[in-house]
Amino acid sequence: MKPPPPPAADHATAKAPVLIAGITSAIGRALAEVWALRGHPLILTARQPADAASTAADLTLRFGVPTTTLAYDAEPPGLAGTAGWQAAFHQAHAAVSPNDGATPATPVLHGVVVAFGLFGRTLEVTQDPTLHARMQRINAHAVDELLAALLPRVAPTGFAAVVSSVAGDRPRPSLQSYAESKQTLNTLLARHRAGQTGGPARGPTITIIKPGPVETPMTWGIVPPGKGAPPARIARDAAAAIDARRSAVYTPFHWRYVMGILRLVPGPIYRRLPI
Amino acid sequence: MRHADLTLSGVNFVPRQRCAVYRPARPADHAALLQNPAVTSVVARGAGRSYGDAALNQNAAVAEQVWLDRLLAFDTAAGTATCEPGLTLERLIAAVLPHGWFPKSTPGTQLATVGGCVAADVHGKNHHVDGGFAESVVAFDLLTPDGLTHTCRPDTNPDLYWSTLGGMGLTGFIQRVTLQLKPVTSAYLDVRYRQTANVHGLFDAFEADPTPTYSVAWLDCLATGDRLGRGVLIEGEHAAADTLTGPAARAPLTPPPRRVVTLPVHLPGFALNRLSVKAFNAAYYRKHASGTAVERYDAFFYPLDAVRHWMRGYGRRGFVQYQTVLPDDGGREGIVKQLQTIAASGQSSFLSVLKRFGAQSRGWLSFPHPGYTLALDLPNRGSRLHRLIRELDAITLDHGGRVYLAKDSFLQRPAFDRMYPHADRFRALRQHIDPDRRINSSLARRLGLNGA
Repeated sequence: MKPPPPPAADHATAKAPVLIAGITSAIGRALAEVWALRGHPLILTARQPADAASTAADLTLRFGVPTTTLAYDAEPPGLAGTAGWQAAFHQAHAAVSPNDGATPATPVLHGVVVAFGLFGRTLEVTQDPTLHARMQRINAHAVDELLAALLPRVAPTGFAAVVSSVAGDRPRPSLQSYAESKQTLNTLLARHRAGQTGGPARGPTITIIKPGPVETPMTWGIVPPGKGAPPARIARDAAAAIDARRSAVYTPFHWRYVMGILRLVPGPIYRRLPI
Repeated sequence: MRHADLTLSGVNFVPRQRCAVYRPARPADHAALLQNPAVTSVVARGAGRSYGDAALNQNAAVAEQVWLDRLLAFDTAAGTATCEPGLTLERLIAAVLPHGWFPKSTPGTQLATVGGCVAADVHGKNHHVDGGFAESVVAFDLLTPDGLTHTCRPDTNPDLYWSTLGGMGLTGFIQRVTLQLKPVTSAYLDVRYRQTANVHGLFDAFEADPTPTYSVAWLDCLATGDRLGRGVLIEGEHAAADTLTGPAARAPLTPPPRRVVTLPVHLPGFALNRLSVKAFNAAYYRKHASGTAVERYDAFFYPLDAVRHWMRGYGRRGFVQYQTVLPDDGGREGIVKQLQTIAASGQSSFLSVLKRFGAQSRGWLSFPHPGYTLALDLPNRGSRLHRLIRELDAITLDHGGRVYLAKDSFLQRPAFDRMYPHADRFRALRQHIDPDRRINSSLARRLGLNGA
């Protein structure tokens, strides 16, 4: 969607797009607003592009940036590497780029935000045996594939940011499978980082966002209301960490210390903690 | 869809009730809620800015619209905007004002949602000129309990249209709303203040000049005798950009961010007492000597929004806002009688507002009606307050007036039926579109809106 004529200065034209994978997630939408406010065109993915269309319109109308939607499903078959998906990505990139119509040979992104995820408590995993594998797939391996496909497109000064969770620092029994999938994610991201030649100064930053409980559609009814941070807070902290080219950020910040302590608790005691 | 069991209230903390709180994230979630056998009944809730039990459904479900807050379309040439019901006026204004558009009608807070404004058919300081919120609605999509979505306009599904505007959310779920905005050249208003010695001076001032687009009067409820209802008439017009000076002239449509302070905790119940409020009222009265000023839109329309959680000033027991409209015939006497009744009760309204309404809204349960409307903030003093409200209701009924459903939690069916002549028509429509009362609220049960 192309924006209406901007009211003041035209700030959008020169900037490279940011791709938000998982725009129906509340944190994804909050992060999209951060880069929309900075004037970056946005490519928004959802399983069903129709689900992304209303958010795309909202971002264009409120922030005056071009947006487009792109179908992406984290569940198998993984499409990120396929020629068909790459072509769709090229098309989406051209749609929000200033040179209308002409597909650039090598589309460049300013950044990639991965915000999709699947949440399940141990309680639900015992009722649905496929849930464990689905969380591993969606929360970890799909992210790995997507980054493998998109990182080469990100400008060296750009970034990739992935929404993980404090849960991945140390799994707790009530969230075992979810936490494991985030642990896997953190490991796979380290691999991407190691695979970059030239170190962080010359490649895009990879920032792991580790939120504590957040008030989102994913956690509504689980995280007690008022106990979760607002998605906008997560996005603000994440953006500051990305700007500072940090590799990980706990948000809200106190989770850094909470997890620092929890990691030190001996196993037999940890398993008995009421968490 | 998961829910959270919460104790909820309106903005005034009276009453507090247990509700199962759902938060639809996609418009399609509403249909799922209506079919969910675990949900006995449900009502939409916006930002929780109404007073009373309109957005409560005790021991049943409410569907908070806060995540359905997208602006879907905005025609910068025609000044029409389409949005989801949970979009707040604050975010709507932030998107449209830089393009030179402003809501045609706005209540006294911009934290309310567009869906809530439709449901309560809210009014603004320009009702006598431009009508209420309903007059700014072009169309909306309504999901009725049978699972069908109806596009409603004055000429398409008129019954659903006029029953939903002011219908307190009881006809279904609003899926999207299209509003007509009004063109402005600046975010500022030319404001004129006029002090009057008592409430009669206010009446005279209102009627001497009905032309200002925005007009409202603040009045001092604690002054008595000859000074009963001494007040300040506040009139405003959108300022033309070329009349502004200083920084405002350089960016007429984009004022700098407003400074907002937060009241972090509930004040003790005695913080707002006759003495402290008397002192405040005297200071406010003196400060607003007659004169003119240029004010930014949010300071003019939304003064209380500058203090986040201002309602905590009333303490945990909260307060009740009583708003009534009395027709012109005998309306002046009725308003005076109500002010005297409050003074005689030994209770006091801490914030009192008087305004003149224009033509009657066509919404079946819409509040505005030609005459004078008086809004009072009364701290919750339990049974003493209930007695006072019964007395005020009696005066309202005597004068052929009505109370505002978005601010009420006391009215019972017999009085309600006398105040709202279309009540039975509204009941019949609900019987037709929602025989199982899938949509229900505490307000609906209190006012007997479920019965035949």
